[in-house]
Amino acid sequence: MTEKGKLLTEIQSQRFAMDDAALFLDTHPECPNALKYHEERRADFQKAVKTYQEKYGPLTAQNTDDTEYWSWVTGPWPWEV
Amino acid sequence: MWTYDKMLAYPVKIKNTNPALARIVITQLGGPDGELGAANRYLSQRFSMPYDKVKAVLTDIGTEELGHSEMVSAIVHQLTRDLSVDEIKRGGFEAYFTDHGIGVYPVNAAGVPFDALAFASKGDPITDLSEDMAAEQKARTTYDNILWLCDDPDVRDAIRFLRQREITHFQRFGEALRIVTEQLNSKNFYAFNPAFNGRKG
Repeated sequence: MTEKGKLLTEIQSQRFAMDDAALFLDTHPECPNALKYHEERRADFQKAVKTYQEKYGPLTAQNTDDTEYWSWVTGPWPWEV
Repeated sequence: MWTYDKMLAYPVKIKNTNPALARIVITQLGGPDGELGAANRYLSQRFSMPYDKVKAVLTDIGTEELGHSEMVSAIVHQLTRDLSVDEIKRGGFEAYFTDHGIGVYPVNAAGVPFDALAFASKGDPITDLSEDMAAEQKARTTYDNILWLCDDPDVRDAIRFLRQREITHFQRFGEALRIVTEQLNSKNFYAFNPAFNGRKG
């Protein structure tokens, strides 16, 4: 797998763990273990997203700060890989 | 509101085209227990839900289902890209191809377009959450049925991820129903609709 692919897999993994913990927290909003787990996954997710976006372009249109070319339009799109 | 993340919820990387399999998998986009119906079911039911924790559950699972409808669409797309005319005929894909080409359109396994009657928004928290628990089980059964018919490891991998999520969502909706019943007025023995009090005038 390419470096880009590995980084995206890391982002997807952390995001999945974050979202799954968030669902659990919806019905257990005071659970200290889940709160801690969510915070840890969120930190790893944000770190990986930052590295990815610096190298390979934006993962959200809101994180696109281009001045010369709108890189959001650059493929491949997620269903094309 | 929503924002888009330029990635799938879980990787979909299918090497071999297979239009016959696409015709089956597409029901989890446009069929009676598919992801499109799931997303619309939960996101619609939120507005009459009186309890904050359960509003969060419906919002977050509904949002996740939008991502799952994208995953199922990606599976269908990758199973039908680069098709030859012979492959379309051999895979029984002629009827779909005639109306939609290789576009992704929500239909069930028999080719019938998505129908909003596949889901309900009844304005009663207990009724809605009972439907949601059944819906997750029906979706899980459908994924089980797909797995019986599918031997492509690339497709099975993504389908197994989606199947597992139905089980987690069933668990969360069960907890949501418990949260609702615990907050019912102690005189409401028969769990009448806590979202509507029948006020006169």
